[in-house]
Amino acid sequence: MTEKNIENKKSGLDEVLKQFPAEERDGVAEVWKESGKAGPAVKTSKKETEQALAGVHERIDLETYSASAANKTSGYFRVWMAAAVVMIILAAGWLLLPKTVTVPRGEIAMLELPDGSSVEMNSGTTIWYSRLFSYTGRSLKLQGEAFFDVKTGNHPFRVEAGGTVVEVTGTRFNVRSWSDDPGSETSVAVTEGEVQFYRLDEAENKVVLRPGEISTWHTSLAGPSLPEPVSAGDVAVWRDQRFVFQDKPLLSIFNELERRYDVQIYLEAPGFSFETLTAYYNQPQNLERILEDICMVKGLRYAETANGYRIFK
Amino acid sequence: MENSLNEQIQQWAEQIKHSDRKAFDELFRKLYPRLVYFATGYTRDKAAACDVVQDAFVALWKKRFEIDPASSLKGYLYTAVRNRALNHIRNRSGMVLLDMEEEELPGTEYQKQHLEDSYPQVAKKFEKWIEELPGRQRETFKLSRFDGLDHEEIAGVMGISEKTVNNHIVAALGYLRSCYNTYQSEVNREE
Repeated sequence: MTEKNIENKKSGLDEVLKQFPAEERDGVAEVWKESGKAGPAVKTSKKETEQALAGVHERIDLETYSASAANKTSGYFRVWMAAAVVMIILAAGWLLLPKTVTVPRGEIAMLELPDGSSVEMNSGTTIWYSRLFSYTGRSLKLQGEAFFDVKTGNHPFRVEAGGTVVEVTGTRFNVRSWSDDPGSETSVAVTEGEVQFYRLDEAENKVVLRPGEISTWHTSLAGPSLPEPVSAGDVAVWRDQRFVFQDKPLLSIFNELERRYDVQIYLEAPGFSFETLTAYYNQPQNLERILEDICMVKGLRYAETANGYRIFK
Repeated sequence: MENSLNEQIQQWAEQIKHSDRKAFDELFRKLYPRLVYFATGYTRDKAAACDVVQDAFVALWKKRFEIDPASSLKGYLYTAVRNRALNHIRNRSGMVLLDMEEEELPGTEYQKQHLEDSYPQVAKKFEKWIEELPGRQRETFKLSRFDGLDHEEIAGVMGISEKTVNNHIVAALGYLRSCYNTYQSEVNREE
């Protein structure tokens, strides 16, 4: 991309030149060319761009979390709102502030909740929950993938993820909901007990899952899919560092590898993002072996970069 | 090159529609600096311009499922940024309301500052002349010249017809040419 690029039919320069008498066109074209030297007077550095992008990411994640909160607020208004919120929190204590737990990439972590339930969180997963958890209802929000072992309690246990809700009393189940997966897919698989799975605000249209069943919702489905059998060994394979890719688009496979190995993988082969692949790894030792396999099957190649890999045709 | 960038952007549009964060990031990296410059033309304040552009990207992500891969995503973003920038000017309290239709904005801090660094003489002149253009002419000319938008996209962004877009650019080039000719004859006389 260059600011000085003039060999561009689509810019409509030809259309413009037609309006000038034939003998003046060369002169006008020269003016057009010369004016390009006046590049943008406001420069934005790479660093500024990256910082801005990080800010945008934060806001996207935050707004996915509190999607129902103030919708159309300008940057400045938001600052005032944040200031107001800080005041309220100072007055009422910080009890209302959700607790955020994020597992770094390349790691898996165990989280003990105040009610005694435990959550095993996959690499790169975030969970938000109220500090009043277990007093005002057991409700939390999830971005990523986690395996829940829920203790029976007075309140139902509720997981909100990617526009869906999973509701249980006491049971063990896995929720997978990565916002960067195609269609923001969320899937729930149960190993013990019973859970209810429905889209946010559509509790009447729920699917009940029993041990050994899985259901999925993504943006092109009206509601969660009917329960399908899943073998107990394939639920939450990530817990013992295994991979099971069943008809998975390359895009989500690479996302998963990125999180597990804490690298950046750039898929630079147009049209391959949604190519699917089935593969099983029981003891994945190194990432390159996996990339090698995928590339061989799909007729792609890979090369190492400073912080990961580049996949190309 | 501009054309291949446009194709690339449309490919990203398709991916973003499917919630591909990486395509979103790439699009952001490519267009953010240009859009900030574009927005600064309205807000006259880089910090506010940055806010406006970031808002537009957050909104794009929220509405990603509604992206139409057949229409120009670049045009959509410029429109979104322009609307937000105009709202920003309107909402700014204690400031004189600027009528973007007619008002000619005086040269401001950021250009003066820029004119001082080592830059080809002609380039500085062109910057000055472009800032002298009437509001809408300047806006149209910059979108065409520096942001690589085609007539159709500019018409969409500005809410005017393609013919008017063409007329603005013709008028702008006419003015720039007369400035350039005068400048050249002055330089020749000095030599």
